[in-house]
Amino acid sequence: MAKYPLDLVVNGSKYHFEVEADLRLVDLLREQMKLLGTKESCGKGECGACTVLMDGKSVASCLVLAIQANGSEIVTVEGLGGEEALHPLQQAFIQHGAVQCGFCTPGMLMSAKYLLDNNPRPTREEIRAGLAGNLCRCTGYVKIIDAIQAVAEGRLEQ
Amino acid sequence: MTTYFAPSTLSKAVAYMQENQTTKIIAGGTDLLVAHYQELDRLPGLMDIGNIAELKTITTGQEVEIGALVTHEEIADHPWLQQHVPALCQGAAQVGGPQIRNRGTLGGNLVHASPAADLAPPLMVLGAVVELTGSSQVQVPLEEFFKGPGKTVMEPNQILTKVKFSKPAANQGGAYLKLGKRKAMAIATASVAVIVTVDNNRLADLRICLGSVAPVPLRAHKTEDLLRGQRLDLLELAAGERQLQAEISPIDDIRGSAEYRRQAAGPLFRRALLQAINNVGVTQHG
Repeated sequence: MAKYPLDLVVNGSKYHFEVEADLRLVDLLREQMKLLGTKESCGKGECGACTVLMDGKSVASCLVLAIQANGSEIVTVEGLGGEEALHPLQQAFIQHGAVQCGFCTPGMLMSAKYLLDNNPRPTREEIRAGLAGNLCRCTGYVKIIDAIQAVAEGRLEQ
Repeated sequence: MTTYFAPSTLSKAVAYMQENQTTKIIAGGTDLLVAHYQELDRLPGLMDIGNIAELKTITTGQEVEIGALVTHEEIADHPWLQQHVPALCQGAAQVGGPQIRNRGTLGGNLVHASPAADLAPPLMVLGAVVELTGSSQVQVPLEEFFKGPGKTVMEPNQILTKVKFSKPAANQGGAYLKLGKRKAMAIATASVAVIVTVDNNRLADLRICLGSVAPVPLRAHKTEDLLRGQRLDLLELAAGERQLQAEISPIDDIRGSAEYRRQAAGPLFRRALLQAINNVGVTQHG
């Protein structure tokens, strides 16, 4: 079975793998690297649960082959912040009760990060558009949008 | 077992395609990996063209050239394109969500030959030409490129490398409207792009292209002929809608019935036409 060399940076650290061509990025992250924050739900780029940043752009990691990430820099929800140092978005999600079952949360956070990186003061409508590729089946969108708006407006309680 | 090759130049890619004609080209992967969902082990041999820098450029000016690897997000966010071909940017901005637009490419949107492709109608009314590179390089008008759902004139060893069109003139205006089940993430139930040329308060010329209402993105030539030359204040819009509805051949599918599509296409076209007329001159500076 042919394997291909893959060098990439994940959450700031360099890694080297030998991967088969049909391995997806989401499988590399979850199964080989045990970064279980990234979720897979639909596997077809419809739900956004597997969203990660690839060279600063939000992508569905179920629609990227791992080998296509060769030379790239990947940020997953684990790279956003940890228990000791939560990212403001993570803190805001907690403060606003923007998490119900939690399955969509990592993808929501990464889409929110991409949105604010490119548009630090989005309107509510722009936040909604920024989350268009992420589904929450608890239907808790309002609190998610509130949380992102709070970060954008610097209204985070310390 | 799937093989993988990622050339760094177009000439290497072309040479590889000559030798490996069953190889599938992958770029953004947003169509290919969905098509092979749950059977990734049966992926064909892949050539990833994502590292070919010469396919990632946008050249602006009187003649516009967009490389096949330019993503939907890059088209949607491009200030010059927003100013001069807003309908194309609107099409790009309505593909999937941010995650899909960040990966999906112009070339992929066209070679997949979906009747619902969001970039095909706005490009077709611009009179776009696609550049296909194989053992030689050929230019094909986009209007002649699509042969049916999933079918194009491309030969197995060819790569779509560029899309070219001329900058619209100051007396032209365009619009693209899409009807879908949701505001976001929806594949078009029907879509329409219009570009108009206004001269002396008359509709001197117009081009109409519809998506999702025929086996291929469809130029509505008869409707264009009916409305061409009419005074703007005396446009026969109802007759235009009827002609358009007679000209399309929609089918029933999960996104809508043929009857619904035929009904919706009329007013969707009327709105796009009026928007295009309103946009004349608005977007032309420098």
